[in-house]
Amino acid sequence: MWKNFLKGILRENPVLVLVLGTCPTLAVTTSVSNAFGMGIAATAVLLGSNVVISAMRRVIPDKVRIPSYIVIIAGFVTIAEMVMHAFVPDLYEALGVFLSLIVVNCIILGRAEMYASKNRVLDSAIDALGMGVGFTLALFAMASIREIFGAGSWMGFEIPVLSDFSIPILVNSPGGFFVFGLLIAIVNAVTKRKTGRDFGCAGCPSAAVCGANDGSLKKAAEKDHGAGAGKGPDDTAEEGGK
Amino acid sequence: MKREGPKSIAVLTGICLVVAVLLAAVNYVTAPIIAKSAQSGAEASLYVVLPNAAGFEEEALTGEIPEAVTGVYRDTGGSGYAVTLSTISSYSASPMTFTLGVSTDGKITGVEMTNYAESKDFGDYPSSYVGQDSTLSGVDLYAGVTYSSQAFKAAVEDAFSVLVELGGVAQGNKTDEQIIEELQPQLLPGALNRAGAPQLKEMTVSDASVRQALQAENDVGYIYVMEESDEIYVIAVSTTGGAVCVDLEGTDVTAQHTDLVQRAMELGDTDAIHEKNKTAAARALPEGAELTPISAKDQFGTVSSIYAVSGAENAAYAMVCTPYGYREPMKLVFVLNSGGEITGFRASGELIQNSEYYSNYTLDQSAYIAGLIGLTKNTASEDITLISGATMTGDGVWAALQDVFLAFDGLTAE
Repeated sequence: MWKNFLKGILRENPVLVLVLGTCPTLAVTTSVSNAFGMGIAATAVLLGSNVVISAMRRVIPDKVRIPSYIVIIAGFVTIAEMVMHAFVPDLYEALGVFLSLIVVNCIILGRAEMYASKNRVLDSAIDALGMGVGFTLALFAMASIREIFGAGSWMGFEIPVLSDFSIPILVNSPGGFFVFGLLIAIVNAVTKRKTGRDFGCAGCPSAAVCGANDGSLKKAAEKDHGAGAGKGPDDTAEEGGK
Repeated sequence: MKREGPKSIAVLTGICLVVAVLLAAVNYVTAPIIAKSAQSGAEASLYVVLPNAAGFEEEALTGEIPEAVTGVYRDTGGSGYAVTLSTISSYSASPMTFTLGVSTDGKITGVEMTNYAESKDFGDYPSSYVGQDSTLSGVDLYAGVTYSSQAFKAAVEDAFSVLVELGGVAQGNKTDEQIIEELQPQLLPGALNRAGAPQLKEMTVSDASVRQALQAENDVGYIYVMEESDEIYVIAVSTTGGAVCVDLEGTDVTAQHTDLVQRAMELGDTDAIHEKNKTAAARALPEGAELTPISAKDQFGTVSSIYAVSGAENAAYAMVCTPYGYREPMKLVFVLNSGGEITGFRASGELIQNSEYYSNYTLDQSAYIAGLIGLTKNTASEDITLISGATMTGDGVWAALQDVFLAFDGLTAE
């Protein structure tokens, strides 16, 4: 269970390893408070949608699973939007359109399709929390670097000396890409991943879920076209439990 | 497989219904909070412009309310009013919104911009209004952001008109200079540029009763501020022979001051203007045509000279108009037959001055002119003179064409 939670933080970090949700990552990491707000909102949506989708995994027919997931995710996003608009209007204004765009954040749909639809509710909730925390931490780290060195402040508080020698390009788009690349490189080095090792399915950090290593991916595809809903390849298996 | 269809429909419908119910429930809780916070956000600007206000009560407005005024709020402590305004300048599609604070003695206490979407910064312009009364005598338009500052000033004037109507604030007294400045566009509309500002230059005259003499930069006439029996009069004289005299109340007193008007008519060198325009007019007519300057009463538009034409077929009159285009005045010659039909048109130089537009706009000038030929007062329309992409030039041609028909009516009526 703990392993399930931790994987989203570093080994399968959705932003820095799976490179998902890049658009909001680059857009909102100009300030730490915005990044934190976006992370919390995305985590809440991820948790809600993962739990509901996992609970309904045997009910939702395979044919309509993607529209069903999207409706559930969009529902949670709209709820998050309304709650933020009511209780944290400043953050709501600051996040702007990116809040609504959580609906199309690949991390949410990715976890729904890849994990929640195949695993138990508790595991899906833990997976969502891990991924959400990983997403928030990645945003937080990236925003900290950009705000501290780009604007000379942190969480809106001015940092002496640095505020006089800031590097404004870091809070602009090119700086966003630069810091993003830098963090990906650091995470790669820390997790000792070697470039060129394997770019196929087997090299994917989520291969265990998909079952790429033992050929169950193929079986799953066959079942998708054949048997249909509720009878996934790994219905009860815990992620990484092989 | 066959059974999956209805099940899919049922499940997806069910999910949609549950989500809709959930959203309705959350909306039920959050909507009032959102509405309240939006209202307090709008109210915050009221306290910025009237910081010592005890609280605000919205005034119920009746009658004709200027479009720019979106709300009037009275300080319950009695210190004054806050007015919320929304105005669109012709340069931006997004409305400029701001809140204006006015104390009961009629002075502006503060201005708070709540939305400004122009590309060029407004700078400290709004704060230059603080301390002004309803006459706004101490503020000018902001060079470089003329359209926005014009819209801003007009909105502030609207706010004052509503407040004075309400009886809530004292009205400021306009200076003579302000009154004269306000009379100018009404008296000599032909001298206005496309932004509506009169383009006049100071001139010196020998008459001792003249306090100020102004000549229209596009040669359509003069404005004189003259003194007689300790009273100030503003006299507009058009180069085509029109003259009107008003007092500082704006009342037409031409008939009562015929001597003064006559003196004013003799001050400007209109002959020189007609001589200069004659060359331009002759180019629009066949060689050998003779031109004699004539007058048209009550013509204060963009017509600078009118000539009776002889020795040319289908041409009875030639009128030289100098309306403003994008920036500079154009020189347009319209030739009319005795029936009031346009039989010739010529623009001095290129009608579209490329340097004045962002793009290298080119106009098929001969096709455009062909469209003007044959027009009469009844058949002319703005669509014919419109030049897509060079709207201000097209507007200038349309203004001139209307003035030409108006002048023609004045001629035939004589």
